[in-house]
Amino acid sequence: MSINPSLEKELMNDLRELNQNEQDAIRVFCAMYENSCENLKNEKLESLEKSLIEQIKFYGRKKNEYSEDIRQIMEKYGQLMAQLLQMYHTWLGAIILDLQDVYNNQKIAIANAKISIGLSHEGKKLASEEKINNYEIVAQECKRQMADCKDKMNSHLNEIFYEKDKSLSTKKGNIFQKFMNIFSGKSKVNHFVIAAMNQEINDLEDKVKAECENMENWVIEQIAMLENAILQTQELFNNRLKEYGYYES
Amino acid sequence: MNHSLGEIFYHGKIVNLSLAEPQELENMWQELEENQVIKKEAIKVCLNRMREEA
Repeated sequence: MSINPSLEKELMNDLRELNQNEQDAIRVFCAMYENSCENLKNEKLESLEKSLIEQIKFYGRKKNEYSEDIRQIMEKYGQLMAQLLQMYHTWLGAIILDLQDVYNNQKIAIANAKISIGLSHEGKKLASEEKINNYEIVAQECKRQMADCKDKMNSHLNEIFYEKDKSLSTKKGNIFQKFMNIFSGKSKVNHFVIAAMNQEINDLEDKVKAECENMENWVIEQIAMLENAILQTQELFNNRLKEYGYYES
Repeated sequence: MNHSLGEIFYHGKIVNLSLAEPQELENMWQELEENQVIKKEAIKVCLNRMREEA
């Protein structure tokens, strides 16, 4: 039985447009995700710098005297954020690879459904349609995980790297304190600002390491779930074909 | 942004994703997702018509 050529052409056009649409949506999502990461990182770093400068000024010192200390602290802080973000980049990358796989397999199933119609293989057509629908469920789960990855990245970064300048209670020095800072401001900045912040970074290093270790297992579980769903979809299709008598069991 | 995210052809114009505003990206994404649903529905209809005509 032959298929109407104009319908075949229509199907090919729809598939081509669908493919373009899916690829564009992935790219747009990645742009949204990267924007979010960049904005968060920049906000946190600006907030940290502002907080350090305010504290240095409170002790009557000039920020230029500590520019190297500030640079080093911000560099370490940025590295720790990048370390945590790397876990989310890995997760998102793995989801997208699975989603691409699902999209490709779904289109193959659509092509198989069309071939089955042409060959009047009703059973194969039904099995292919079921496969198309099952891949759709897996694709939706991939998209749910993508959104979850973006939200979790956002809240996790906010939880660990809270905004320093907003957490700092405003200290207002009186005239006597300002007078005393002439003699002890430098040691106070070294002790209460630079050393304290370096200690905080050391603590953050341990915390980020622990968070990454916890997350690693969780990400592996999430991806395994997707990959298992892809395998199950194929297995279910093979079983359906057996049921319809296309394979020897 | 540190690197280019590339461009897409959207509503008859080229959009540089690195330069797009967050709201613009959000709207684009929503629309692309909605279009996928419409396109998949069109594919189902097309397959049904093929079966009816075969």
